Amino acid sequence: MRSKNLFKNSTLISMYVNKRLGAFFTFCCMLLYPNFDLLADGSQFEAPSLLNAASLRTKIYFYNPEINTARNLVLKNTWDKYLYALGDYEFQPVDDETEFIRLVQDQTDAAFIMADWFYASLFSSKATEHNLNLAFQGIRNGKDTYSKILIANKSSLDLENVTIACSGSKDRAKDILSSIYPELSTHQLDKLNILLVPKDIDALMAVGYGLAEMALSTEVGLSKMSRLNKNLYKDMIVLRESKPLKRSVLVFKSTNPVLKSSLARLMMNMAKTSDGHQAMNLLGLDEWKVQTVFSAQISKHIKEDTNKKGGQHNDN
Amino acid sequence: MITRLSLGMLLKLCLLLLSTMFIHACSTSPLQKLTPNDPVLTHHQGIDNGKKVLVINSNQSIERYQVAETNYVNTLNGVNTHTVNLETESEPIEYLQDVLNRHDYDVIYCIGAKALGSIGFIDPDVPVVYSAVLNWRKFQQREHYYGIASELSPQVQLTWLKYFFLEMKNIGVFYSEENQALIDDANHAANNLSLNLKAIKLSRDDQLMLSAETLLSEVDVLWLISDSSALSSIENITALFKMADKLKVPVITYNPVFMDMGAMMSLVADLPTTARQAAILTTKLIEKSELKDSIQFPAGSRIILNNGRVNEYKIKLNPGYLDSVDELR
Repeated sequence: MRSKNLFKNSTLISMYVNKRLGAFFTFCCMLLYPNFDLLADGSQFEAPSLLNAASLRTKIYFYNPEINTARNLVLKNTWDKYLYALGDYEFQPVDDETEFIRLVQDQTDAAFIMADWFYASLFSSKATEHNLNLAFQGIRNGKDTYSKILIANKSSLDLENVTIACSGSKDRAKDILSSIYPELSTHQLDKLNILLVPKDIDALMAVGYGLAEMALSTEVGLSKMSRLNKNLYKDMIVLRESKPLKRSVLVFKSTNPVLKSSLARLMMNMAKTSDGHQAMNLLGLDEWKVQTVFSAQISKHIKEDTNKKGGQHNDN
Repeated sequence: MITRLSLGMLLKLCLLLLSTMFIHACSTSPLQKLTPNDPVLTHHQGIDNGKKVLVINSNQSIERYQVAETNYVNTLNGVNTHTVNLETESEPIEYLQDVLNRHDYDVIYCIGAKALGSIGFIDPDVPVVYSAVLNWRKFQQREHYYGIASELSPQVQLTWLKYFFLEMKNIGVFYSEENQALIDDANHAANNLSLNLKAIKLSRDDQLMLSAETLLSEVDVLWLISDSSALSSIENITALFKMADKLKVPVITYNPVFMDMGAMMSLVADLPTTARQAAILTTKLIEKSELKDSIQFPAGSRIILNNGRVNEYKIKLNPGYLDSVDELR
């Protein structure tokens, strides 16, 4: 009994000492931490490594909760193929919303591509505060809007007892379904069986092969389905359509007019090259439409720049 | 060359790592292992409807199982989930029997073969849902067992194949008796897609390589399906890939593991989606809704393409292929 108590006491003492030592060690780390920075100070002006070279590239960050993040590497490779050939630019997909918001707030001299509704809900009211310029609106087939459509194989289905397949996020799907069916209460929306799938076309195939009763998709997805499998396509019916939604936007965050105009030129030329066209296609776009306010700013800069250079036209 | 900057960073990293390890060692008590007497980990999502699901993870250290668990729990609404991890359990059946003796559950969800095999042995009187199990066919006929298959349906695989490779019409496939039903479905799908399926049924191990050359010389592509009898050994599979490469016949498979052996494309089930399907299946079981099938094929696809092989074999790809490919190798 006595030895048991002794063992218990020594274990308690040992745990207490260990915890104190842990805290002391952490305190030492925090105290010493800045000294390592001092040690490193002298080397800050050395030649940049390959890693530094990559970080010197102007970044075009991309975030869209409706696009499957598993494809980010394909997106990056395709965009970088276009960008690397034209200068020190780099495409950087971001798969986390919080991280993207932080980047928009913290980064300087960068561009951001995001869904229009995402920009409108988070940044458009604070554009001046964050020094953001809405520069381009994405276009496909000459239109800057698209619609979400609800597709099924049968027209008479009870929403509450079906599985609705869709890509993107559950919250976004609920927002769209709520706009399509304004009569649904929040409780009814929460009860819906929404099956998230990686791609728009997966949602349609799920309906075609009986894995879901409905799919929330787009006209582009449905048109792809018609090419993919005519038999499945012919049985599909559009139940409802959302109001037009704006396509993705490109926003600049920079006070450097030279950087902005060269990036703008790069974006405007995308549709003219096959690499650029392919990169845009992956975002569901085929060209960028420059925004009027941004266009005026850039023209003003080019005019001022030309005047400074003695009124001569200089493209270099 | 290590500069002073990188030396500083290295020291910082080492120090942080050491402190983390030290604090962890100081705060870890020796009795951390979960025993049947301990309460299992509980998670709750949404409004509580009083229903309980036991989630059995074969091994939480395996990323794909962890992904399945997270997606399953996040998709369930209004249900309490209790999770157990069989990672270090040497006697999983006894352990699970104890858990089931102490608690009542409305549904049991098994992730991976160890979990399903153990529950299958106990055979409790509650519905069992499973995913991430390669030999799911063994449980296909069992009552109260509902699952998500590990491979995309033959219809979906053939649809993708037709979409990507515009000029491929003749598809070769080996199968055994265990996949007769799948091949019947595939034949039907191939007819709908105007494809010609040349399926060779094997009854013995040695038949694969004996018929491989003939089949490969008659088809545009070899389609590998999950068949434990037809693809019975690594030697056979390696020899098959070697012969396909010699005859420049591309191989399309159902599992990414074949990409390293020389497959041109893998049409793979998206794991998070299968877990989400399992969660919806669970919800329907709890609500006692009518279920069409006890086994569902995965609704999400993950497509891996070996572009080098495409170029090497001079295969014509759909120009819009990139908007559906998830990974390029």
